[in-house]
Amino acid sequence: MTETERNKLEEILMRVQKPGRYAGGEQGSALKDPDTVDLRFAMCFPDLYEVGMSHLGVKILYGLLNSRPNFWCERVFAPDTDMEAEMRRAGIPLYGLESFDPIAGFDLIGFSLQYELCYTTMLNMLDLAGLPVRAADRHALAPLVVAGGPCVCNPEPIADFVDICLPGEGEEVLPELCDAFLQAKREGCTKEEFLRRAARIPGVYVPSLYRFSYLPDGRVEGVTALENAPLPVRKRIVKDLDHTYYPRNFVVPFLDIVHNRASVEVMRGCVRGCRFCQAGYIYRPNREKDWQVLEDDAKALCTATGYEDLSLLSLSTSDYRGLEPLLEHLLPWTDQNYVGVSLPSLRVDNFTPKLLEYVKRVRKSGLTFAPEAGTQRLRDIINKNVTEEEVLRTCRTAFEGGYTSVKLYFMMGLPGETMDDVAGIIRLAQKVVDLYYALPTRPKGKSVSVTVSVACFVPKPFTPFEFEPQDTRESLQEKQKCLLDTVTTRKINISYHDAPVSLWEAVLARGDRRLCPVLEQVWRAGGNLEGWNEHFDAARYQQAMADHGLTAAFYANRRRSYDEVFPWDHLDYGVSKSYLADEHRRALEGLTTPTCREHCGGCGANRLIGGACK
Amino acid sequence: MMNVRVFYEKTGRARFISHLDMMRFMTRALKRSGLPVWYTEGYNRHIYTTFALPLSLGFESLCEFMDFRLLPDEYDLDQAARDLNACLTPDVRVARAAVPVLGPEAIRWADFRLTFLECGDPAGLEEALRRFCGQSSICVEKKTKRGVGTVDIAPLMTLLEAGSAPGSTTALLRLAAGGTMNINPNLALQEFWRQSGFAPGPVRVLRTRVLTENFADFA
Repeated sequence: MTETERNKLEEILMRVQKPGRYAGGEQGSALKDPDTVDLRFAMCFPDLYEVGMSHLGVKILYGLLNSRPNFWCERVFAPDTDMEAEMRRAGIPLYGLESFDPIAGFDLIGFSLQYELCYTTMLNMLDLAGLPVRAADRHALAPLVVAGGPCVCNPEPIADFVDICLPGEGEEVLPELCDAFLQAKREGCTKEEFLRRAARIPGVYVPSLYRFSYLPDGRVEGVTALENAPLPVRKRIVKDLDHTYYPRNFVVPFLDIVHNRASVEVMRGCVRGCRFCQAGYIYRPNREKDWQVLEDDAKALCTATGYEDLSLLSLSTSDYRGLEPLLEHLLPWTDQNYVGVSLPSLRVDNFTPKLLEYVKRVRKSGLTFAPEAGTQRLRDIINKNVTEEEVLRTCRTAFEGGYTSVKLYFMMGLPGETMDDVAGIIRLAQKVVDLYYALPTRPKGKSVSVTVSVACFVPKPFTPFEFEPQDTRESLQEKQKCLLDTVTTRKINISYHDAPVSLWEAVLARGDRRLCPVLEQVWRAGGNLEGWNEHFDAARYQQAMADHGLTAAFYANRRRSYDEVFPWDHLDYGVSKSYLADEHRRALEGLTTPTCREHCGGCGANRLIGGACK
Repeated sequence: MMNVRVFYEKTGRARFISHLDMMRFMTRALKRSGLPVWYTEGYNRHIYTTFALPLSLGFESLCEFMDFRLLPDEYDLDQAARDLNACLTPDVRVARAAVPVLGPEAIRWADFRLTFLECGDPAGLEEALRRFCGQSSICVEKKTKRGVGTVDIAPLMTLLEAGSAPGSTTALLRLAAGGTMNINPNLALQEFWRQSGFAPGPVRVLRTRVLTENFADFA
């Protein structure tokens, strides 16, 4: 950034809300001399600073890339609307928080895509950087636009905008891609030549090297790889978490962010196989980290950051088998150093009084559990494998331990759901209330509070429910009414997320390449930061779909057959489609599937780490 | 146990850190430094810190203060300052650490260096500033805890220096500061723009000194 631009920026920062989001300079941020580095990487998160700075994956990749002396990775977040307006007015392009240099001059621009509704924000960030949003309109080798994160398991709705997608785990493939890029840059390679080369790196998907054809009814007919690009593209995965890079320091923000604490990842993947849960399938197989390595990571991180809170993260932390020894060894140290430990993602079926003791030492706010469905029948369909008894027993443990508020998470619109299942949500919540009042040991004069949080189910690729239609708006509204009508006590609070956002999530999650121009139109019509309710407008999507002769129902509300070619079939996430189809059939029959530890179902994911699969 | 006051500078990018965020940042820096600091003894134990005279968001300062306590009765405070500096960012620097002499109630005045940027007529602006500050009475509306009131800021404000160069004008302004009467430079500036007829432009503000009743440096 020039001196004049820098002065203008500083003047702008005096006028906008929360200037700390845009000023950088945080403790732990990587400052390097641009003349001594070979590769500049912009790590973009298409949401506000407070959200992006909370994301662990970004912290890992930021630390990993900056651990290379010749790479400089900087953070870039979406500016809020006030800052964006000021930047556009003053002609200040999107810049990296470390150097204040415009990212248009960087080598690689990476986007972490966590959520379908952030796609338009990605387009807006590219535009704010001064770059054409379409990959075909960016002719030079640099900057190359790369995308990763769970959303790229079906990258087709954004295929026209990004040059490369990295399905799988970034710490495996990203440094390799950067090295290949450096080599190409030195050789003066064209972008086309480099993309052909990159496609040969395992775990790299180059959308422009694949052609889709469609049946007259709009379904995908097939996909062809050009220029000998691999088909399918198999995702990359870390085999051994104990010997994989983990940051010993985080960038510690000045402002308060969503998750403002040190965190360690106790395991990756989940053994459970809940049929609605994409993370449970795309991060398979489950890989645990040695508790001694974690103890060391945790102490190093707390010492380096000065954080007073530490979180033990995973998809299901009470399934981590090293939890007790880890807590036993870590808690004396954290107590002595005034660090609080939090354990998110606990399950009701293995929540022991001993675990509660550990949790209680930290903070006595509320406890959150996720039964996900109101009846046993439906919990069996989704393979949640949690019984009502277990929910009640856990709540009893919590109440006896002095807790008076419990939060229960549910989903609505699950496959096979009836009105009775919806009413069952409230019946279960009522049983929890009754349980509290039946306890002789309950604190005198204290009332109980049960919060029921209900989200709309969105069928996602690479889950057994990828074949399922999403419940329609009308049906969901009817169910919502039923839910509210069933509540008879003020001890139960309901929080409900509305359906329109979920519909468009469903469309984009299982969409194909024909949605690219739709997204571009939505963005041109003002779509940006749409994960925030105040910025979301379903009318923009409806209009754009209509203008391109498409319907939301085709993508969201249509039952898909087992032999249909899906837009994500050319990506290999380890779990085979036939396994997902089997699981779907079992769901329809109400049959549950045991955890990976009890019985290997032969999903195929073990092949990814060189293991056997039956 | 001993009370310690660190005197630090907050410049560059750090001026966009709010007072509340700054407090959190300094607490974490103390924790990282490994200094034997005293923690409060309540339910949620935390490092005890106090900050005199909060700085407005966007201002830079050469004279910021943070008080905390060290557990030992004696400690090498030069070393403590070095240890803390090692845990700060380049834009927040500790100049020294010492045992506090005065309480925050001793603060009466603060000096601010104002730099008027992108100025079309620097000499004219300087002249207008001198005229503005030379008035015997400048009544402005000021928000206080008890609502909006009128304050005559003329006796609470002295122009110590003014100068101009091509493109910019600078001024060194002494303003009442502290718990009983505090005049923010922005309040004076707002009135200046209104009276002088100059179009408000960007102004950099740097707090250079914090003084007692007798114009001695707060220590």
